[in-house]
Amino acid sequence: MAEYDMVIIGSGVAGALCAAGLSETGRKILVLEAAQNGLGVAQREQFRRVWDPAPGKSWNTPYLRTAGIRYYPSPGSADTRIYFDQPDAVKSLLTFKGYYQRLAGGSTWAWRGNTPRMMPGDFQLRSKYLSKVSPDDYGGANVVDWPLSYDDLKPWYLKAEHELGVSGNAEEWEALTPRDGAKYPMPGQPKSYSDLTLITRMGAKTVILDGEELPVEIITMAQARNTEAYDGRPACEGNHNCIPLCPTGAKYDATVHLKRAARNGVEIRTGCVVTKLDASPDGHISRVLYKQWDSESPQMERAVTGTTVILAANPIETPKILFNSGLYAEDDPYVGKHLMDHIQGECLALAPEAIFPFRGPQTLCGIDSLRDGNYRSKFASFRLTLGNDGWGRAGNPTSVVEENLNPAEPSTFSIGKTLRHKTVDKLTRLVRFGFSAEQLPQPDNRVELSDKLDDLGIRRPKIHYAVHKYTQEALQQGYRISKELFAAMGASHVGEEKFPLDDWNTAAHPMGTCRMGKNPSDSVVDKFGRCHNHKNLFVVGASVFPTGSATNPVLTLAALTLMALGEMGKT
Amino acid sequence: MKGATAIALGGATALVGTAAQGANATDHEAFIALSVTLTGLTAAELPAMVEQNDALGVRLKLYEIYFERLRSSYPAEFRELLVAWREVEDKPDHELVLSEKLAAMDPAAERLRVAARQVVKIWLLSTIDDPRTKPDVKTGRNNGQLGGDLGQYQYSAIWKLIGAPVPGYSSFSHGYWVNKPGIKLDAGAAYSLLPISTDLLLPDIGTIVELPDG
Ligand SMILES: Cc1cc2nc3c(=O)[nH]c(=O)nc-3n(C[C@H](O)[C@H](O)[C@H](O)COP(=O)(O)OP(=O)(O)OC[C@H]3O[C@@H](n4cnc5c(N)ncnc54)[C@H](O)[C@@H]3O)c2cc1C
Ligand code: SF4
Repeated sequence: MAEYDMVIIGSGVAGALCAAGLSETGRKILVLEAAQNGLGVAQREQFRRVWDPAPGKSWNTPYLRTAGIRYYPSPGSADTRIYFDQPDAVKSLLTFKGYYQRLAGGSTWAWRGNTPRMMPGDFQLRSKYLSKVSPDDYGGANVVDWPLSYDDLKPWYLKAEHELGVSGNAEEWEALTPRDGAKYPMPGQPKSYSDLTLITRMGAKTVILDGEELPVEIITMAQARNTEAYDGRPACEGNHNCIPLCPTGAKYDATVHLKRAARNGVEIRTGCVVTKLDASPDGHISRVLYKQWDSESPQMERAVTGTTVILAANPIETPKILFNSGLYAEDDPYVGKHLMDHIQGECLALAPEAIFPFRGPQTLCGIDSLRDGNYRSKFASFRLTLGNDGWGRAGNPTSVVEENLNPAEPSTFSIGKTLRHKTVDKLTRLVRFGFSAEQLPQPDNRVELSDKLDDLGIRRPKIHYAVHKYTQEALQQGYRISKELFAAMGASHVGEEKFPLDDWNTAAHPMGTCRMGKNPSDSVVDKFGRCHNHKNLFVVGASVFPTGSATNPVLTLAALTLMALGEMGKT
Repeated sequence: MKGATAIALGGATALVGTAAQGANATDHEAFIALSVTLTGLTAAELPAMVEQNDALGVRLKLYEIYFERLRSSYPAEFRELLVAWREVEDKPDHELVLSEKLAAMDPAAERLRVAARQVVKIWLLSTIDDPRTKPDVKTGRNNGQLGGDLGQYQYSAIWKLIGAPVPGYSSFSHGYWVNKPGIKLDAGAAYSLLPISTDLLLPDIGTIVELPDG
């Protein structure tokens, strides 16, 4: 008899949805979580107190002082090679820049909260757009259709929107991601003054993508950010701090479901870093092994048994555990392979008048009408975000003040009214488009085990990675279109003629590494995340995505997880 | 009160920059007037009178805390800047004269610029350059930065000037962002005293033991 009915490894949104969903069936459930932080208002306040006095406010600043953090390292934004071993990362286009935070609640503490659905065509990239193209033309990627369709996932998308609390305007999304008239749980966020001014200035607009004319529609992003009180959390007050920390909880994070699970009797054991899984000869996972770093003997391996084991440790940590367990060889053609991210670029401009960015959530609107089209046989799908945060990383109050206080020519050093005018004039006119492109599943983009160890003696992730031409071209198209739209808005573009590819940035959306499929010979798990080789082992999260689309991953991973709950119960 | 501001602190004889003897009210007055001139904020916009407790529970005004911080981080440069200010404060065009002094090309002017940068930054951003790190040769910027104490970030004046809440400290209600902010671009609204955390000591995050609070 196993000690638990279910052992869940990891408590990000994927693990938390499993814990909360399965807890309603009266089962005995254990969550093993590497980090050790609280889930409630006191913890949120503690994170705020770490972040507030920090001079540089990065996406992970609030989380860097959590207890025992050296025992469960995460990739930082400053240099993702500090935790990841990336022997090939000698160039920007060969560096995996993605990151995540190991925390109870996972990366959703820091996420932006954008939750669009994948489009129907995203599930059939191969058959719809690439079946007649030689794989050599898209870098040898191993592109497959998803083992389920948009229609199969549609009811689960709706359920996920209710679980996470998504606000959106159904009429803006119906044609892109059909909803059969279903409303979002909350009305969409109001567009900002800056969005409204720019949309009016732009007017009706179409663009050409590979000869096809497509409409440009700037619509309100579907987002897990409350527009009214929902699920015990308040409406968003526009604190403009969604990344890295919503001070009020108006933005969904996975603590919502962890707290629900805990109330239903789920045991959440924090400070427990899972090292490996033991399997019996028939493939049954018999034990979960972990190290408890806050114990007297942090290096001692402990064991627990569960009838069903759910791996929810994310697309980097999940294959790491599978390899470390010896369940799959590092040269397995599917486990650890096809690592993907969304590859981002930015295009900057100055509006002709003050539009007052930095008011409200950091992004509210985007362009999703260009995400699908015949061009996908030549270059990647992409979506655009109209920033409400100035130039984001490239231009904000700190950087503009610094720029004005450090002029190239000291004789132009200005103070007083001149300095104020210069600073305010620029800051109130900043506008940016961000564009985020699909990356195809390349077998060579992969996670392996490094010989370098972390503080618990666990082998760190070794990553090989490249951004290929198919995606690079989409970045150029995103940049070109951004410039066209700025011109239509009367905004003056600031920057180079073409997108400087080395400047690409991560969307922090790791995906792939345990792809799902119908056939055990070309995938790791089935559409419910059940491992073909280990019937009582499930993988949840964006690891299972066979292709990445240009869609922010959380809503899709949440929908898949909710769909899988019934199947997990059958084990 | 001389110079550009009307904030009166009352006080004693001037003792500019004598670190060992501590600052007196006249130094503080000069600092506030200098801050107004350098930042371009009006006296009402400068959050000088905001109060915080120090680690021992002593209630201090933000101008006292910032003065002390600048004097201890940049003792020589800050003293020289206050002296330079004293030389121009009575002139009707003191902003212009000070600005010319700061734009000169000699090493003394560079030292004044270093101090002036810190005064502007501490009020606008609540950060200063770390005096222990050297500026980047290419950009001239100092990549080492020091943040303020807990609770000072929310008084970073730049946000008020652009009509935006300090990130993480919105005191507005849902949807305020639809409207154009009600500010005049060259004279922002006066500083309201937001509720502020007076606890300057950062508790160790490692000690938190908490049950889910539902
Ligand atoms: C700054 C930022 C902004 C983002 N914005 C968006 C957005 O707007 N929209 C969107 O869709 N996505 C966004 N993402 C991505 C999104 O947050 C992630 O895809 C998602 O949260 C992943 O959830 P997960 O549960 O699969 O993994 P994670 O959140 O990574 O959780 C994994 C969990 O497993 C635990 N764990 C790991 N290893 C072990 C181990 N060995 N033993 C025990 N526990 C372990 C971790 O501590 C953690 O709790 C963003 C990410 C970041 C960082
Ligand atoms: S804008 Fe503010 S209140 Fe709204 S979700 Fe972001 S951080 Fe939370």
